[in-house]
Amino acid sequence: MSPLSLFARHPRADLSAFIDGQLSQERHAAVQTHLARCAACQAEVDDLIETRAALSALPQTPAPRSFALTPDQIAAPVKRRPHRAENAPAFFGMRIASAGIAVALALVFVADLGDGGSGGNNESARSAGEDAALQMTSIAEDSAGDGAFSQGGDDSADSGEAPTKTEETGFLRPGSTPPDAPADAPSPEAVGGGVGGTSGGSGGVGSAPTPTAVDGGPASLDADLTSSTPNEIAAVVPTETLNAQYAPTSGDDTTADRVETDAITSDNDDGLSTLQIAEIVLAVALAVAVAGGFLVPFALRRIR
Amino acid sequence: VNQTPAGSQSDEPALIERAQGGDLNAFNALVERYQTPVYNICLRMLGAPQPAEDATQEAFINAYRRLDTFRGGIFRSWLFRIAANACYDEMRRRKTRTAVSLDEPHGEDERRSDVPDPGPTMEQHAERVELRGQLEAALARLPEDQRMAIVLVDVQGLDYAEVAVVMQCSLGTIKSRINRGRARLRAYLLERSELLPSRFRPTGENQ
Repeated sequence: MSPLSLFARHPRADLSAFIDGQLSQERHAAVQTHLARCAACQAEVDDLIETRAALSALPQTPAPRSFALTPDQIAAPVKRRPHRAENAPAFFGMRIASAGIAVALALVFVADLGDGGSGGNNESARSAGEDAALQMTSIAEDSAGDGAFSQGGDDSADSGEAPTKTEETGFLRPGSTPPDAPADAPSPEAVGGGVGGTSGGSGGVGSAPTPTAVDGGPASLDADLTSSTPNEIAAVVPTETLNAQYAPTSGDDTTADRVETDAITSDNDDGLSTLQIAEIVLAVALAVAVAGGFLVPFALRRIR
Repeated sequence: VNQTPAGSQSDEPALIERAQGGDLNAFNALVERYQTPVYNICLRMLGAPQPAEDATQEAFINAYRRLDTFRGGIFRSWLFRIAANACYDEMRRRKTRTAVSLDEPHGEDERRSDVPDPGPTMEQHAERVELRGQLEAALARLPEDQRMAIVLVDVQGLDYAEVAVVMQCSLGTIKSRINRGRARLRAYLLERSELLPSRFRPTGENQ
């Protein structure tokens, strides 16, 4: 080993073994040569020696008692009980988790059954759904009107834009689909107006009520009292809402899309069978989850 | 620090043989002989007296049950291996409980007062106690395998070859664990140099 290579690499990995005399003779000599010229490594060696000295100066504590075994200590099987008890929370957690999955699957399954999965009734179920949608829309009209009032009362300008915005939030309600983050997010006032309006109607928009939404209620009441232009807005809103309802191209209208496509597939047997397949898959998953929830912990326990 | 070298007591093989034949008294003679180093390994590994006591007891119970697996070699190494495993078991158990922090050493005060410190001056004595506390805290922060290697080599005085037997890994692995462990301890102590004896201050002169 040439002196150059010795200098190129600091033998830091070998320094402890060096001071312990655990290196081969050749390596030991090489490290020694390096140390003679490398102050950094020599300082590290000094520190390591002191660290080792401090460690070996740690006092040996006398055994606090005799650990001699008694006959019953060797007769009893090794205490595994606390070990198992510790794992109980884990098993319990697994059970809870799988039970949660099972419940979730069951909910999806039931929801799917109720949602026109049942063959011939699909048409009527669908039309009932549409009726409900229309009903909801009328409620939405009201709320939209309220929203518009608040808009008109507060700003008195932009009364043209406000109805369309609130109509959108109202529109999302008829379908069961939650409003998944409208792309053209309504301005805070518009949402506030919509939500404030729905407080008299049913449910509410899925989006979390913002502070402005809370304001929306009183604001709309104010608007009712001041009643800027109720007729004008009422005339505008319904047609727009209905248009939106049946126009599948508008915005994030998953509901409208579904209404259309479902109407088509209700005549088509293939669409139904895929639904049924999905339900069967869900049912199997449900069964597996339930079985797993009870069996997996036992299986694990047996492994131990 | 170093105990009487393993096997130096001529009656040890006989005791082992009798213990293997089911003689509990013979086994307990071995327990009395090794309980102090075993307890100290556990104490340094676990950082607190109570878990160390539990692990020590479990180690001897396990040793008795597995006496038939000892087939010659150094009894101490075989026993320490069982003790090391008891420590790892105990650490795993504590980890799941997360109740006791290894970072704060327990019951040190009793131990410190137990040991008469030969430091000539009060200041040196205080420094030494401080250093010991820092060292124990630093040990507790080491990765388990590095701590075990350090405890066996530096605290118990075993050589690398025996530690390789105890920890069931290669000599090279032991070498690297010792080196990395000591480097970490050194870094930890240097970080707190103002608390430590002058020799650990970067400006201080190495003796």
